Amino acid sequence: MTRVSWTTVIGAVSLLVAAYLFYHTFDPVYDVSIVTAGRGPVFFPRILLALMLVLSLAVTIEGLRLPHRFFSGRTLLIVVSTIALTGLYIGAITAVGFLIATVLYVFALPFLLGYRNVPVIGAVAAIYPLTVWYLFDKVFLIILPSSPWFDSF
Amino acid sequence: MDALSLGIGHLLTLPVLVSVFAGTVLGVVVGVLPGLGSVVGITMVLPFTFTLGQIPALALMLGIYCGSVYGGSISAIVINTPGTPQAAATALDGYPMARRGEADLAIGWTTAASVIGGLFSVAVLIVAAPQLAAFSLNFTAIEYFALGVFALICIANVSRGAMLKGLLSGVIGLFVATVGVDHVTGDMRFTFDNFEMTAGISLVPAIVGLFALSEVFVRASETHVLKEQSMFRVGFRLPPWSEWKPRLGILFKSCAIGSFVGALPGTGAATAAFISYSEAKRSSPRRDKLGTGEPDGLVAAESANNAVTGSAMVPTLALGIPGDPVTAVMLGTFVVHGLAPGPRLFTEHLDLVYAVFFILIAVNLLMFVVGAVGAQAFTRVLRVPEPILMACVVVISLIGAYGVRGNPIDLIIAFVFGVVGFLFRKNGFPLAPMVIGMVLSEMIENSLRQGLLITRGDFLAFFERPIALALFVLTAAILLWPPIRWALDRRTKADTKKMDWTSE
Repeated sequence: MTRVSWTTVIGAVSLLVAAYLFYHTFDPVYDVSIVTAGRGPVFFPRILLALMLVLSLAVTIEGLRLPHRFFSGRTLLIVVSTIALTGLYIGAITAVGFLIATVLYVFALPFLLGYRNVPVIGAVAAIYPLTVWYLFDKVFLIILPSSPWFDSF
Repeated sequence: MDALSLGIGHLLTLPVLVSVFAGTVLGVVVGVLPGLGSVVGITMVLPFTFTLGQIPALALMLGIYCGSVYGGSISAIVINTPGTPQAAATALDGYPMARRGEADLAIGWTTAASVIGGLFSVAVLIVAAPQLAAFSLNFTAIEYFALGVFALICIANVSRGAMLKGLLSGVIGLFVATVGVDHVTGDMRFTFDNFEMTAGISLVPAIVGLFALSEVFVRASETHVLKEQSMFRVGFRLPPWSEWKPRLGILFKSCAIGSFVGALPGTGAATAAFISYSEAKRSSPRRDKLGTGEPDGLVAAESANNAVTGSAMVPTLALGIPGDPVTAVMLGTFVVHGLAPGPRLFTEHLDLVYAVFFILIAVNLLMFVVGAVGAQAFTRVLRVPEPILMACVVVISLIGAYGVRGNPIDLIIAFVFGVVGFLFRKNGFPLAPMVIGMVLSEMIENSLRQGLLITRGDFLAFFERPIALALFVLTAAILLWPPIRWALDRRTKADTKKMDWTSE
């Protein structure tokens, strides 16, 4: 059985999203304003979504001619883990604070990407986040999310 | 004259001079590291600009921009891996020169050609931008609409062999920017009653995701096979004047090519370098030696790619229309710092425009000193383990995404765009049209709606204005050319087959 290419998958997802949003533009909530020569807030987005529908369909069909090619085995695992780890890190920034989340992330990511020199990773994970946090939070006064347990970080 | 002296005054302040220096050095470092291009470089320094004033922030950005275009050539010469795509043509002659033991000379040629190319493009910017801005003062909303559509189509069109994907990417970008408050009516669009979404999807987190985070995911997806990499002893040696003299023609022709290509929307420094290299291969008296370590190749590629930097700023500054992702990010930074590029910038903030000119001159001159003094040191950057570098890139880029508004939703936006960017890059969808679409969306929408007000809702009246008509015709030609070419190719092939059959 031939598997569909990722181009087709992306095209199809885009098609579905565009179809749903196009349908959504007919929601009564958008009938409130008819200024600008009778063109309300969804006048322009509706044109774009119509274009998106046509182009997504064309890309979906174009993708059917392409071979299925993506990652397999170990590479797929690394990619999915990297994306998941970054997602977790972003979630952790607001949950446990920037500094703690960053120390853990800077330690874990190189390890995940195959760099196993623990003393070097440990040193970088200790120094880099602290420097960056101090520089932005204390010197530049760009207040980064802090942890619920400590006042300062 | 007042604006001119104010412009010089802006440059000669400590924060600006420090920013110029730091930007140029960091730019070269970013350029040297393969994969981290100008956009990632600018994204990484974005959080630092939040606390800087307008002009030091611009100086930092411009330093990164010019420095990174030059820096890519160092790794192209030393390890045969261009640090940025713009330096790919440089490797063709730079690496063979290094293998001959002339890495220092290759860096000398590259540095001098880059500086001359960069300064040439600043001259183009100084001459062309005010003229274009003055000309565009006659533009109405209709011309701006036509121009916006034309720029976007150009950018989607240069996505070689992937025009459909490029157009889809551009339309997605245009749509993403419509989320949030409608600037004309004040109504909410596509927020689905989510308060955080009322502020819309801002450009900076999207760029951080599309370029910086997706770069990390792409690196994770590449199986790293350790290749035997040569690392030559690097120094800096300028070629004598007698070597330059026969190459002045190529130098200035390449500067002109780079400046012309840079001003066009959708084309970047990589395109300019290859066009210029091809031209040198066609016309140089030493064309037979090109590709074997001939300085003509270095001069052509490096002067052209650096000549893009200034001229790419022409439409960005004069019209507010970026030509590539780098200038789109710069434009975003202008807006973050309360400046709106376009013709009014030249009437209301002329001192700032002059400051940009002087900063670019200073950056290019400094690039020569930095290259001459630090070539050896910059190659050491290549020894930093890539996984550690990637972790550092993610952290600093996310601060950039978060710092603009201090809103945690921007971190989520960056992540979502990171995944989208990764999937797009892995499947041949270009990212540049999406970014440019996001930047141009508001302008295109507002000018379309204003234009329809002017013409009382008659869209056909848009074609009655000559400049708009010319732009619409060009847009249609760009869109229709690929199918026409395809049909012509098919016909030619069919004719050839027929001729073969009859001759048999």
